[in-house]
Order: sequence, then structure tokens, then C-alpha cells
Amino acid sequence: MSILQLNQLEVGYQSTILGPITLEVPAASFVLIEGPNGIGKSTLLKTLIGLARPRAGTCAWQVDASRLRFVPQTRTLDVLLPATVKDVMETGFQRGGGWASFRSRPDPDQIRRALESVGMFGLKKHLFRELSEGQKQLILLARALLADPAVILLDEPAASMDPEREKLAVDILKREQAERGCTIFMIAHGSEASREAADHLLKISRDRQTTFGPKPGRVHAENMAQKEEKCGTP
Amino acid sequence: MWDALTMNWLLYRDPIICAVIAGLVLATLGVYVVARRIVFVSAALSQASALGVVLGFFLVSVFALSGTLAGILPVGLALILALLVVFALTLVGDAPSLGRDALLGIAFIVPTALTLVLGPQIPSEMHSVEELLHGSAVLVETGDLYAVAIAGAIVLIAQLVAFRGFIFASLDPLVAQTQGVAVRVLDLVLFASIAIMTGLVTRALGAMPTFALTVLPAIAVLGLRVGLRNVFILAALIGAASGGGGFLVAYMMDWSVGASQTLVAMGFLLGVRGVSVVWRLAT
Repeated sequence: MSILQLNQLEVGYQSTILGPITLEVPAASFVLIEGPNGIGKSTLLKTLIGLARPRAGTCAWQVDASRLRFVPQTRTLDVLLPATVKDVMETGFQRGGGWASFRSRPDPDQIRRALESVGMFGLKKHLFRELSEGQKQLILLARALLADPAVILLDEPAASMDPEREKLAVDILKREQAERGCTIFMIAHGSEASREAADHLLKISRDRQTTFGPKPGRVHAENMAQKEEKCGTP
Repeated sequence: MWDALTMNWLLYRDPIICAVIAGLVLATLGVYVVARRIVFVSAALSQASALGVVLGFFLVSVFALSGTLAGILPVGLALILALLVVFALTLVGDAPSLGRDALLGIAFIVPTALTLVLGPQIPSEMHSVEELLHGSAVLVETGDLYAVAIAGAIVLIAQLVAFRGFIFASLDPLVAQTQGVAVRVLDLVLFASIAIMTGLVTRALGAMPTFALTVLPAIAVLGLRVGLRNVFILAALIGAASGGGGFLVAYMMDWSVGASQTLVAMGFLLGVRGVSVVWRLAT
């Protein structure tokens, strides 16, 4: 079953910078988006999440938009507001623009569990702006885990994390994928941990051609598994 | 001094209440203004509002208007010009060929020049330009007090009801949009609130205290580690204390009211920042 269908999708602002792209992404997959700088990876991600309009074609999710989560780069947050980690986490429960959204209340238990999963519960009362970039990125990941996500889209989270935190982040995403069937889309630049974790690759070449499919190693592993199944294992 | 003040309480009551309400509401909005690095927006709005007030008095004198129209024209034009600046910023401020800063520069300097050109044309018994720009809240008309109080109450209620939404839209607008939060609507409400309060308070107290009460209390509290809600509450309290306290200082020292309110707000800023530094060193 696919969770996302792109049909002749073109992305860009004043002009098309990427596309047309036609593909179907299987549910519960871990998709790594790779390509050179400035090629349009972030614009593609913003189009998928609804922050930018497609210039042409369609982008259709098979889940409700309320179950999509976006983890931006930390620099997109305005850190002059003295928000604590708890304040930032509580925004994860603010949804929709109607009256009901004003009445929504944060769930402290969910916030605790999410912060514990990224090892940041002890920083709950700290000011967000005083954390390291890697800590901030983990907090934003924890916020994305709130309220039963179906899809998590991450814009180069590894850029601000050391290898240890990056591995922790990837492990958490793998767990979400395995235990809750969450689909992951992640932009990464030469991140080994992400490459290992991903099962699908969306590659954008310098001439802006896109290719999408299971990661080569994974195809090999699946073929081996099928052969073993047919032949039987000793 | 207190005896004289209590004896004349009826005379000073309206200006003091108006300054307290103005400080409370402007300082609350000021936290967004300073945190979102749009302090110059507030300065431009103050100048545009001052031009509206001067233009209103100018038209009243030229056309010899009287009655209700003469009463509402200055404040009406102040609101219209302030809202025009906000809409111009929203609609064309991000155009690559112009940019928000360029537009703000125009919105600040052109009204200032026009105010200085039109001001001397107003008969001095109506108002002096000096008072309009630098603030002289000795006499606040009852209508102006009601307007500031009603608009202030609406702005505070909107903040209380949609506080989380305003915060989310200011802190993390990208993710807020992806979660269906009406970021553009909330921004429009926020900027309109700033424009309306700036227009009304400029008419009642003057341009300088309006700008000072918007930015100085917010600058005082934004360095504190007390949680978001407490930052807004503290800013509002400092704004109210600066508005009312400034009036008392002006009365005691025989200073200009607008300048006194500005200096009291600056005193709070230095005090709060100083205490914050000492607290950090001590803990």
C-alpha cells in the first residue's frame, strides 16, 4: 500500500526547479532524499508537507494531513522569544485554525515520554535558545513524535548533530517505523547512519533528474531472502 | 505632593488611567515586536499615527469643522494611516525589488517630515506639534481614554484566547503552518492590534511614549528565564508601572510627561537587566 502518490509533480517558486516527478512511496518506509546543494530537496519537502504549492501535477497523501509531522532546521525558529523546552513541546498539540484549536490542551505524559525517548527530559525547564544545535534538533524531533504521527519529514537534521546524537535520532526514527508503521522522509548529506537506516532512496542528480526505489543493498537483501525462502535454509 | 495630587485627582485621573492601560497593552504587544525584530515597525507606526493626528487637526482648522467629526478626525486618521502601513508591509513588504526595511524607512521618515511641515499650520490653541510628537498627557480627553480602554480590552482578550496560537506563529511559523494553524490570520490580527493601539495611544499620549512603552518593557524582560507566560505578564506590569509612574515623576519633577514615562521605562529596563545579571552570577 502506498502512502504518497506524486503525479507529474513540479516544485519551485518563481519557476520549476525540480520535476516532473511521478512516484509512489510505500507505507512504513524510510526514504532518504539525497542530492547536491541547492538542487531543490528542501523545496520538494516543503511542497510535500504543504508549505509550498506544486507548480504543476499533484501530491496526494493517503493519510490525514493532521498526522504529518515536519522537523525543520533549528535556524527557522525565532529564538529571541524566551520559550522553554516545555513551551516548544506544547506547540506540538496546537493544531488547526478553528475555535477548537484554542481549547486544545497539551498532554504532559506524552511530552515526558517524547522527551525521555530523546534523552532530553532533564532539560524541560531550560530555555530552548540556550541549548546546543544538536539538542535543539532532538527536541524538535521529540515534538514530532507527539500525538500519533503517521509520517515524519525531516529537513537535514544531521547537519547540526554530532555522530552520536545523529545515531540516536536515526534509531528513534527506525523504532517509530518498526513499532508504529511510521513513514520517514529525511534529507541527509552524506550521513552514514541515515544511509544505513533507509530502505528507499530518492536521488536527485545534478541535472535535476530524480530516481526513486528501494536502496540497492536492500534489493539484494530481499532477493537473498526470497531465494532462501524458496530453497529453504539449512 | 500627594496632597496636591489627591486634591487634583479628578483632573489627573483620566491621564493616569489611560497611561496605565496603554502601558499594559503596548508592553504586551511589545514582546512580539521586540522578539520578532520589528521594532522599527512600531517606530514607523508611531510616526504615521502622529501624522494622522496632525493631519486631522490641520483639516479641522482648514475646513473649520466642529462637533463629532472634529473630535474623531485626528484619531480616525491616525488609525487609518497606521493600518495602511501594516497592510503595505503585509502585501508588498517582502517583494524582492523593495524589501520590508526599505518600506519601513519610507513609512518612518516621510510621515515625520510631513508632520513637521503640517504642524506649524495648526493653530497653536488646538495643539502643538511638540506635544503630539513627544507626549503631553496632562489632559487626556474622556473619548480617547474610552477608545484606549475598549481597544486595549479587545486586544488583551484576543491574546488570552489565542495565546498559544500567537506564540506558535511567532516562534515556529513553518511548523505552525504545517499543523494547520492560521499563521497569516494570526499575524494580521497581531499587526492590526499593534497598529490600532499605536494609533489610539499616539493620539492620547504622544508618539514618543507610545514607542517607549511598546519596546522598553519588552527589552527588559526578554532576557529573563521565567517562562513565556511570565515574560508577557512582567512586561505588561512594567508597561503599566512606567505609564502611571512616569506621570507621577513628571508631576513631581515638573518634567515632560512623555519623556518621564520613557525614562521610567528605561529605569525598569536597567533594573530588571541588572537584577537578572546578579541572579545569574549568584546561582
